[in-house]
Amino acid sequence: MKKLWIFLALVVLVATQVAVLSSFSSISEYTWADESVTVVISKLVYAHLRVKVSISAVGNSGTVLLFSNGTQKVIPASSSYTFSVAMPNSGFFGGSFSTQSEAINLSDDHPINVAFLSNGTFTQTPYWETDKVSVYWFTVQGNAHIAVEGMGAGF
Amino acid sequence: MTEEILLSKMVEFLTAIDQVKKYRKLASALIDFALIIVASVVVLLTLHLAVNLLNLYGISNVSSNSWSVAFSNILILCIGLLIGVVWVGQKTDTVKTQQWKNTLNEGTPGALKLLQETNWENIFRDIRFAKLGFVLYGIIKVVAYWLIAAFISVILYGFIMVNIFHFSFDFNFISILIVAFVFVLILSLGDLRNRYEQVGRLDSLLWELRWFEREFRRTDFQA
Repeated sequence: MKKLWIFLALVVLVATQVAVLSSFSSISEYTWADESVTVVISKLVYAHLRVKVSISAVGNSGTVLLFSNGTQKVIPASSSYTFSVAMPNSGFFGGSFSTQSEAINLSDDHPINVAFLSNGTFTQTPYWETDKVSVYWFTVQGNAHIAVEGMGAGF
Repeated sequence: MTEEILLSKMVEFLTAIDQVKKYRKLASALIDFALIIVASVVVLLTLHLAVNLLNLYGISNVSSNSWSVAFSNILILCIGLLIGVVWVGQKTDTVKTQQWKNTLNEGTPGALKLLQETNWENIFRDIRFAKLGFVLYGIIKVVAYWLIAAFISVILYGFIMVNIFHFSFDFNFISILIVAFVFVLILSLGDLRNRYEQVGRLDSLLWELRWFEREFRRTDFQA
């Protein structure tokens, strides 16, 4: 009988592990920047996200990164620049929520998102936070290959 | 019935009962086997959770889809299955068999003594448990093989798609599960058929023993 209780405990543990694992999701997005592309990384506040951004300047002219805080980074021609973006859990809200736009497409089933906007049309404040959504964005000017890879979790 | 025939029938009967005792032990070791298999699944999922959390907090860059993690999955499941099979084997090996040999060597009096000392109700119950354990053990083994086959299929599929055909590793998990299940079923067909026939033999044994017990009691009463 004791073994049956241990078995039940293990089955509950497996179910819990599967539930926690299902809340993880990976991100792997790529695009070619032509003149100007804005990369918008967004998440629901209760989610945790970490991505690695790799930008490879293509062609003879360099590429410029314009960060949301106003700083710039010049990537010389035919070279790469990599940096990480970590957006930890910054809040909690109950009930279901979803929002959908060209730049931000989030829901309880899809709590993290990366979007590429051509010609830099994203005009929100640099790193804005509402009570439900966190957003980080930067603009790539010039010809470049952009890769955003990482992982997020809904907790 | 001559003494020689009686003794050979008794050897046959007592050997079958020894086998039933082993199956009965197998049935009682079944929960241990299931515990070991589920524990290995817990270890496997813990590995995935650890890899994902380390990635999330930027401590490690090992992807949970990497080859090393995939091979670790198979290794963990194989070790779990191996430990389970060895554990069950050891448990069934502890069953003492042929303890009746010395008594039976006494001839007809020894045979009658063994029959009179037989606890028939226990034997009938053991046969029922043995049948259950025998079937469940087969099912759990097939499920464990299925898990391993599914992981190997995913790795093989990924290897072929990514390294040979240079396609993206976008697979239909349900299809792989079905293919792996059919593959394991084909491989386990012989074992499943043996188990089915053995369960049939245990059924026959149960009915024959019930008839024999009734006859033996009646004869004993008349004597």
